[in-house]
Amino acid sequence: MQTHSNAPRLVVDDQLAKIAIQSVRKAMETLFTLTPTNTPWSLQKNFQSHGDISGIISMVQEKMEATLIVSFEAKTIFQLMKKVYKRDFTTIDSSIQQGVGELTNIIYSSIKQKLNDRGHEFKMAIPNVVIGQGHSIINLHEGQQLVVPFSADGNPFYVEVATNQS
Amino acid sequence: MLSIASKVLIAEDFEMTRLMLRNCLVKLGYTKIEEALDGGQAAAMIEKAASSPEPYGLILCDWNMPKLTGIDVLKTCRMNPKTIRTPFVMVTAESERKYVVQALSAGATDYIVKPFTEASIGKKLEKIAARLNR
Repeated sequence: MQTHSNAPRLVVDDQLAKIAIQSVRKAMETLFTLTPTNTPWSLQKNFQSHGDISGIISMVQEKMEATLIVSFEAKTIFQLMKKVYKRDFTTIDSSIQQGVGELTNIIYSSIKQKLNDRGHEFKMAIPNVVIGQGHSIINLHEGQQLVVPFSADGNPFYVEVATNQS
Repeated sequence: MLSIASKVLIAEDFEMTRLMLRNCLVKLGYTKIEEALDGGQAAAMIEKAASSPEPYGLILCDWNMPKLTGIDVLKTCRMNPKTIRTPFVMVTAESERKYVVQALSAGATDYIVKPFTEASIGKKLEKIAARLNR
């Protein structure tokens, strides 16, 4: 017997932006004892995340609806991970890679919980990590992208939700 | 009886979280700390230790892990008469009530949500020890 979810489709709006910002802040404040700042979020169509390392995670309800991407410049993630590891980083080694993966996981889980409290049914997921100096991530979803530029102690990073919904 | 002399297993695939948990345990005075990097390894280590002179006295376990999920590690642990009462704490980013209920129903001793601070983990573990040692 086939069952169909009644979960609402993900809408890219101010509420989603607030949820994403709250989730990023909570993760950063707790793990790194810093409050990231953000410039106003925007809706874009062909934004390309830039960074040296990115965490990517699929947002799936009954079917795939969006992709969450968290992109860091190397200097940004080095400074963050230094707070946990208590040592300097100069290369994107396995500790940095895993750190980005876990950070993406924690941010997504917080976003998921807040969305699911509102009737959505997003599922657990495991992140992937993309590494490459100055890499771009091209959005192939049909819909718009929510883009939130952040700064952590003056170092930039981006959070993006790329959706399928136009 | 849970004490700082107990042997502890951290089952967690992300190194950063393993490090934070280890640092916290060391600050509390625990010295016998072992790590599993995935659920399959965790289940094997738990079973092996259960038949050894020194089984684990505390298990801290993530939910989303390769090879075997934390909830399945928990269920496997609870099916073994030797580990049916081993303190088993889920440490996970999954904060929805349904997962907390699922873990506690499957026999988890307690549930810790990421992100956490070392201080909050410390307080939680002290409460768990006090509750178990009553």
